[in-house]
Amino acid sequence: MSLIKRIRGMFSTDLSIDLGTANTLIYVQGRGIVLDEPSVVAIRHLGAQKSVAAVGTDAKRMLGRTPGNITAIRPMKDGVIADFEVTEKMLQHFIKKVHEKGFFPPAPRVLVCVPCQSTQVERRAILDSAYGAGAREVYLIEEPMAAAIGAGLQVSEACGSMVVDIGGGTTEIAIISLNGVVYSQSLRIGGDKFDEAIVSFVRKEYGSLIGESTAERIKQEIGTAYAGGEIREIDVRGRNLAEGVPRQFTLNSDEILEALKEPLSAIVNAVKTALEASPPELASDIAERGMVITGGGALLRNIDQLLMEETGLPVIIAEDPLTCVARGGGTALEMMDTTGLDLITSI
Amino acid sequence: MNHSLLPGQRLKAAREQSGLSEREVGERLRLSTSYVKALESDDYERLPGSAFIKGYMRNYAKLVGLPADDIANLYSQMRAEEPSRETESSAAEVDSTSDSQPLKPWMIWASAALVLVVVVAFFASTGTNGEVAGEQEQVEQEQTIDAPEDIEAVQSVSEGDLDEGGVIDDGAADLSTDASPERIIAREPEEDITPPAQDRLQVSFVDVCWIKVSDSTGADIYTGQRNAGGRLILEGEAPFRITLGNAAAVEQIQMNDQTIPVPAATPGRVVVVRTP
Repeated sequence: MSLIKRIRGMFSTDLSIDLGTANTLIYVQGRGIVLDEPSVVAIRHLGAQKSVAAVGTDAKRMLGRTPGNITAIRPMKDGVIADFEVTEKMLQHFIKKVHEKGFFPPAPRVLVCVPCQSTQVERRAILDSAYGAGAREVYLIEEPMAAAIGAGLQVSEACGSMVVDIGGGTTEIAIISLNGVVYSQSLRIGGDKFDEAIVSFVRKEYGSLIGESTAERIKQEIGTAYAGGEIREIDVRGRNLAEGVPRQFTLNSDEILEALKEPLSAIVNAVKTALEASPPELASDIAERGMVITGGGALLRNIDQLLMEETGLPVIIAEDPLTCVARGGGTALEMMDTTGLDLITSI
Repeated sequence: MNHSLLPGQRLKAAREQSGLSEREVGERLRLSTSYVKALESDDYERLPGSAFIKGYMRNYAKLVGLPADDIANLYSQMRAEEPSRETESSAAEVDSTSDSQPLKPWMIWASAALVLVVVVAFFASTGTNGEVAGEQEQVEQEQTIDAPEDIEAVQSVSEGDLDEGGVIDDGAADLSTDASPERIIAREPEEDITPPAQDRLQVSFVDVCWIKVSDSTGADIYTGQRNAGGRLILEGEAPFRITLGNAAAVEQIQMNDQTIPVPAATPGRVVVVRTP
């Protein structure tokens, strides 16, 4: 490590980054969540040259609305890097944004969360892009572990805890005991798949095409995972495929439940598989205390009801589920410093 | 809704209002009935960590139609206040819990203070009579080694450290009766003023207040609510641990005709009082 980088490190703070498919969150110990922006980058093409036009919220607004010379892309797909260079640029931008006041370019210690079943190549890609973005040291932690710590579970106890982290690109299911992951399963199903399911449902039932952003808005406003409770409605506009002109129509939450059936049942099945695969002692701990849902998917209405009915176990939603992973990563970084705890995965 | 109530009390009241039994709630929330009971009696020792408790409370509140966030916030507020309150009002408790307990932070501070006292005493004595200092230091050093287990040693030394003779005598006595557990038993009767017989606790109220009292064994001897002008008389073995749902509603607490100070509090605050 060069001396200059070390000096620059003195002016930087430790960061815990939840590099998600949908959103990237950065947590700083003592300051809390300092950045929460969509993982989107808009790139402007000038002939053969490429430059970054916008990152984060600004870029997300451009998604699906860009002219020919700008492309708004999401560099992460299914929880891992799909476009290496753009991810690096995005991280660089975010790290700089967190260190706005600094005179030197920041060189922080960084902890990044990775899906638990990502391959070595995928982990290496995340590691390299974090180094490329100027990090001094990079550590990786498995997402469900960070989520469990962030949710306030006692991961160091000899007691099984089950975490279901429903993110944008992946759903991570893990059983944790004694600071280690006993069982883990990663599904490439998440909030994005919910949106896709809504888009294809609307096309099939209404013969209209809606965009991803509209689908996301529908999901957030009226989406539900379990029948019962109030029925909500929303007015949306989409291009009618037969007529070719935009039309307005009304969707209700029952229809969205129908649309989400498939991705939700995949999650339920994976949870059941995890319970089947867990050692009996841990299974009894989980049956007594229940499982914890984190991630953006936890905000889907009645998702706890669905899992409770399907598994017959208590299900609780973590406090502030969106930031669990980033907060947990920050705590893990601190635990690593104070107790030398080995929560961090190596490649 | 009365906000001076503990979260469990509010949940219980709402459940009774909607006509559900504990078992039915347990079935709906997929929790065991004992967990539901523990939630309602605010007995958090029997429940898993606070992340779970908060989640259960949210689910329970949703089921009985209470604002889930309010209940969860009430709980976290209580949790945040409890430890600080305990340290504030536990000053009287120090000399009563001298039995062999795991090392607590105050024990470490006490032993650190003892080492300081011994060092000061040593230097003071070398100044006046240098020839005795050698042996004296040895005696005192050995005393410091077994000090963390025995809080009474702290007392005796801090009382007697001004005259050197006292220090040596005390140290010698400690060394002659070795191995800490027997010594504690041997010394207990002369030090402890309260007899092992039943202690009488009396609490009077000026406003409605929820109260929980547990005795020296940690078992709850009373849980319930008293109205304004009410009076609670209990008998059991001291020290008592009294959890008050609304500290401002308590007029006074008496134990064996001795008044115990109630920490001043704003209405609705949860306070834990420990008696000697």
